[in-house]
Amino acid sequence: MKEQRTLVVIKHDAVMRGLIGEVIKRLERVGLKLIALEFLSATEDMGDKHYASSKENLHRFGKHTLDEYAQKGIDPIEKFGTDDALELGKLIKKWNVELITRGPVLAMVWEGPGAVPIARKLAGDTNPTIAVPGTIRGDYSWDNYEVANDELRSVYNILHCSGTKEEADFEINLWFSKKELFSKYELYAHRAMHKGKTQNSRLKTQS
Amino acid sequence: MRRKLVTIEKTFIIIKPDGIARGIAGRIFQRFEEAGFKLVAARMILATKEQAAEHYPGDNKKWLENLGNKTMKNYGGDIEGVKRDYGATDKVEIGKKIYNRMIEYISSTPIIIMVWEGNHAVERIRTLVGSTVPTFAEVGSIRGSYAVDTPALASQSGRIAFKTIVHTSDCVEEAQREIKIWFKGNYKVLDAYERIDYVDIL
Repeated sequence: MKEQRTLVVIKHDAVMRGLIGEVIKRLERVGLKLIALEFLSATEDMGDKHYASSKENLHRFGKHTLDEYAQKGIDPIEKFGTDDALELGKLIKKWNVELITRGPVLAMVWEGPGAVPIARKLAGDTNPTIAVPGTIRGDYSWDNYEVANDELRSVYNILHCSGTKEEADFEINLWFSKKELFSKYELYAHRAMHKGKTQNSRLKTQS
Repeated sequence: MRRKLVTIEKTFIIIKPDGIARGIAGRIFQRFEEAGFKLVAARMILATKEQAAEHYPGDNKKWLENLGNKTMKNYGGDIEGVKRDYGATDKVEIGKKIYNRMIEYISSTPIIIMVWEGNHAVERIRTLVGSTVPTFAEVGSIRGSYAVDTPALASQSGRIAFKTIVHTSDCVEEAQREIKIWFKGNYKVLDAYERIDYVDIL
């Protein structure tokens, strides 16, 4: 897989818990290159665009939850005030926006071959309960959709990372301007991770 | 709002080009987080020469002389060595050479600038970072854990600066001055949140 860029946002729950360094460390040690970073409070408008979902997607989110509740025999109207899939989808999006705008977050862009799937692999499943140990979510959160829905909020899953290359391009453009991306430097580890770079590494450090 | 106590300070930190290229930024964040400091500002930038020149007080003769002095000390009285590596023996002249190299280095590749807040943050973070020359930095400090370099080694191998991983403010006044230089314009310091693992402290 060729060079890609992906957006990672350390959410406010992880900032409050002092987990910033832990997350960055894991992305660094796999060999991804940090090319943009900013500690910021996301505006509602940014949150809205970040979770920009088509009607179909909102409908799908809503339906997914409705199906789950039907299985459990819980009345969605009592819980959410609606049993309409699109309405519920909108509500879920609102929670997502609420969480990303809750307080300062650390937004970053990481670059490397297959950066999108690699970052997602390290993050683990978006549902922390089933995220396996060794992943960021598996190691640092026990949250799940049932508890989150019960508290009428989004799942606390430490970080956001782009789902696909297309999503990444859209999100990077939303969070950063082009002149805030700094790709023109070499990660020392890459001298041993790319063929042909090892030999001149010593010359370079001495020049 | 909670009453801010006078010992709650903000300090300015740079993760320098070597810290970024080494891929140890996360470990540095982690040290400060675990030690009880709160991140209140951070961004990755490519510093301009002007920013760098403003950051280091190059017009302060005393500061330059002090740099020269330290260098002399590091060479243990080897005047010829100093002359070879810096092309000068006057302390202020040596200081200027180093100043120029520092500007060159800090603006060479991306860095992370940040502000951390906490109880006696300036002094405490200096201690956590360790003394300036990594080879002599205390074991367990950031420099003592992640760096081995000396100014003499850097000069002898023709490198423009010795690798110290991070910069930290010297004192409260310097911290305030540096924060103003690096976080200008519409960039706000975001200190209105709580670190829940340090309840009632941060």
